[in-house]
Amino acid sequence: MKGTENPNPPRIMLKVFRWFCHPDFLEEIEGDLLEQFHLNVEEYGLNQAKWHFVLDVLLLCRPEILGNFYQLTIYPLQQMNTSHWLKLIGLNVLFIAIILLRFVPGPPNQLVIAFATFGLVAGVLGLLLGPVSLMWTIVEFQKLRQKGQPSNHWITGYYFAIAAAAICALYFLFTLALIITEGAYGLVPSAIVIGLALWMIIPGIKKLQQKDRKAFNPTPLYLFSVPLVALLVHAFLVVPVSNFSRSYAIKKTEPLINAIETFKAKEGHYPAAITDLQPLYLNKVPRPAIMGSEQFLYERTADAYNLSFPQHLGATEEWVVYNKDKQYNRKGHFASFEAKVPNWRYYWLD
Amino acid sequence: MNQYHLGEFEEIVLLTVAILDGQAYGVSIIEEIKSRLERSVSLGAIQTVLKRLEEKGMVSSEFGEATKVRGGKRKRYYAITTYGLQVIIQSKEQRLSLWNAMPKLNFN
Repeated sequence: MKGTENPNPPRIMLKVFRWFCHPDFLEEIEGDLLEQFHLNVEEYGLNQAKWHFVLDVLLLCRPEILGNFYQLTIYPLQQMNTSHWLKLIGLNVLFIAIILLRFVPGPPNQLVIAFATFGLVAGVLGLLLGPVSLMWTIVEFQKLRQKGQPSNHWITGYYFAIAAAAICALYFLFTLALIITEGAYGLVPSAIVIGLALWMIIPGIKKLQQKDRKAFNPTPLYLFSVPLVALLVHAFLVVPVSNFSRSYAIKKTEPLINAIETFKAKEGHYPAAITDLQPLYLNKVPRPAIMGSEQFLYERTADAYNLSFPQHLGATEEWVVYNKDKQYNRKGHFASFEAKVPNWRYYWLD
Repeated sequence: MNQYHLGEFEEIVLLTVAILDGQAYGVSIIEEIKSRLERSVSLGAIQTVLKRLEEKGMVSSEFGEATKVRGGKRKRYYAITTYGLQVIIQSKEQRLSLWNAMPKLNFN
């Protein structure tokens, strides 16, 4: 025999199976899974047997085997009271707003730009926090189905809460280090929000030590849903919304471009700086008028000019550029596209 | 035409349950198929088919003994029903009639 004397299958997969399996079939199929695991240990060794076990559990996810839909989803959700729902919806709406506000028409706002960075940090945080909070949510749902059964620190969520707090603390320290060493002050709101979350989570961990705690705890649902929503918004909403804000900002440049061309017609050359247009050709230099972009950047070239403004799409930075001779080429871009308006092009940079 | 609509894998499982003669449960069915047909099947596939066959009334089941290696969980033994037997007999006859209807083929 290649394995150990008392081999055990991966406990987490066994828990997953117990969660999704229909209660009527649980005993026989769990027995079969364990017997099959021991046969595989004899035949392939412990490590391969564990992989076979994982695969066997995954292949048991079939409509005939799954517990009924009500027990898995609606019943646990019914245990949430109005306050839980309000917190869940409120948190997610807040995060969607944090991510999308930078594309909304309005005066440029440093706080909006800084919080947009937090939206990105939350998405990255979710990559680590997501699996932990998903497992925690499953255990919480399972706890409701198995009322009265012996409890432990996994079932109360104590260990999951420690893992979630550790991940948040790691991110908090990393963000703090970036602010102190690199002067990344845009991350200050991220550090504050993660710090606040930690301040709220840590006292709650103590309560989870009580093994007789049977009430539904919605915390993992919050932790799971927020990064998930952040990820979905980045994947499906950021591009269409940024298309809108780009078109909106481009429209705002019309008086500026007219003024630059009038200057050229009268003075015989383009202005050296955009401020040269004031007050004769333009009362006030317009701004992109979207909350995430501060100003238009103007750059005179030999016989033309570039007018541009940035948009932050998350990990990607977009530069939207006007050049009527189409001679502009943004260095370092990995993709570029024609905008809907002639002479405008946008570049995506890492 | 087969009035019972027995799929290929359903037929294999039903035949294996009949072969094992009262000793058929998840793991023993997998092992039997593996040794006789050299075909690996997952527990999920076997359990799904067994539930379906039981729903159709072709097999019946009852709990058996629990063992240490099963973590103290009982086995569920499956046995073929009279109806199930009729189905596989009819299935065999249909296949035989097709074989018999085939002309002698000469590939030379």
